[in-house]
Amino acid sequence: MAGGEPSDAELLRRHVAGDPEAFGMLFARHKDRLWAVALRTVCDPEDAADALQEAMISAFRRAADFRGDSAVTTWLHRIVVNASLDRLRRRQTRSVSWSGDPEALDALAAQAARGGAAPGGSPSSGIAAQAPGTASLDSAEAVETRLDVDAALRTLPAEQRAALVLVDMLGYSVADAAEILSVSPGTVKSRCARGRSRLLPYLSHLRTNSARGGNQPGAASVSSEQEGGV
Amino acid sequence: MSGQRHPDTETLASLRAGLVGGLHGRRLAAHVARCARCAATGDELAAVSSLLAATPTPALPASFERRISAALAAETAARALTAGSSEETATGPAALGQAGADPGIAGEHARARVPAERPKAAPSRRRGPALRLRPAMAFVPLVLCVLAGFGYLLSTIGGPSNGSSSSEAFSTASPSAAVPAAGREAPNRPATFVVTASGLNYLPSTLGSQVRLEMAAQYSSSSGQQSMAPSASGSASRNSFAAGSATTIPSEFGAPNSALNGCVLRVTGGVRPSLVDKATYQGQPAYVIAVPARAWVVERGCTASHPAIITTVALTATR
Repeated sequence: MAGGEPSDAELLRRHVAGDPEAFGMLFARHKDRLWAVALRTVCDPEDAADALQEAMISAFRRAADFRGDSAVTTWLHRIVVNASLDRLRRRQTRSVSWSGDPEALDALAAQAARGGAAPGGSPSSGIAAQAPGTASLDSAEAVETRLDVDAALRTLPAEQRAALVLVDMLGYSVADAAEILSVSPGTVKSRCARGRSRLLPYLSHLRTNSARGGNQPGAASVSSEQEGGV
Repeated sequence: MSGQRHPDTETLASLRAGLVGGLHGRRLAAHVARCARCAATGDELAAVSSLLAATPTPALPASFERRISAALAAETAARALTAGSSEETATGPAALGQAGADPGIAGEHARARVPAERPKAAPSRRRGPALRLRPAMAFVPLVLCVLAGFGYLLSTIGGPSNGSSSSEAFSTASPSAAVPAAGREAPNRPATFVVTASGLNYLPSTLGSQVRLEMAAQYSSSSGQQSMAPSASGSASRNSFAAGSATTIPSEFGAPNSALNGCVLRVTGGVRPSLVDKATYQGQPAYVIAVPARAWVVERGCTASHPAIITTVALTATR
């Protein structure tokens, strides 16, 4: 935290002390990452936005409970993950079944095509929306890959998906993910392992297409937390 | 298992994750080391991870960001209101002043400002705002009196269009106005209300607290209004809780809307609503109607004969 920017913890302190701006700054600082967690966990932009909104309101009110034994971001992520899983439980029918997904995929593909023209426009283009800097990399193949990954993730049980999203997609350490998910590191590892093995049949065709180059770094980064028991 | 049978994918994934220890783990590792097929599966598992890592994560779409920022702004307003009103109402006991600036010090007030000290999010969400609003509720009669007086002034001094349109719009309003708080105390008295368009998307899980916050936001904008210059049009879209002929109708609702009026009267049983908000519920167009103790979500087509209530929630229940 060099420079004049207040730290997360400082912003949270100011918020608790009554500063009306502080929480908004905190949200602005982490919104994209929190959104990614919500979106990938819930798998539906509308529901993810609702979950994120509930989570932020909850964090706003519970700020005084924050004890400082974890990072503010970890605490925020935990609230977002919990809100996302809550929402999934309430709308189980949509997330668990794989059966309706071919149509959903068609719709998503159409959406993605439109989303390329007007990124970030309509609320429903959430999945297709890109981080600003990556829009130009959005080749048809990349879109296809992302849609496949989205669809494949949807086949996982929510807890496995949440773990995998945090560790593999967003690059959190197993320890951080464990703290966010309020489970042991071993549980995170096992959820990730099961999730990867379940995703394999859906994603192996993509590896042959596109992941040749990314193969080794990925393996290395994952194995760094795996060496222990082998 | 000494190499004849191949471990399944999940076992290999567990092995890679360091979850298979002991003799079994060593045997598995030894098998994988000399089995091309299992090694290939291991590579594919690694590729799953790298594929996930390479999948871009989208930024929060602007429309969602606006929505969430608005919700947070409402929270901030409600919090400021609670802090402010507790200062004004709690004149006597212990000058708690900047209540809750340090949550450790100001016991009750701190709890009112930051209500969610309970372990679970859900119940605190329900109970929190009730606590939070209690000081605000105590503040209501005062606001009403001031507003009614202010409205009376308005109608005598400057605002012929304002005053008359309101009594036309909802013919149930008392034309001679300035009967402070009467509407609130007599349940059978016909309703006078302002329709707001908050733009909020109400959700099942947070309906109660969103309604309370919206009501609180309106109280605060009412109290803000007294001190503002009495521009008759100034109260356009995000309108305030109003009494008597102080009612100002947003321009889009200037025309009488007897269907909505009838709907509201039917739904509240004739009690003047604290909130009639043209908004959405789970993304669907709806009106949210509330009295201090209960809120209803109705379809936009709601009328007296067909109230079309989507859901309702008690606001004071302590559950």
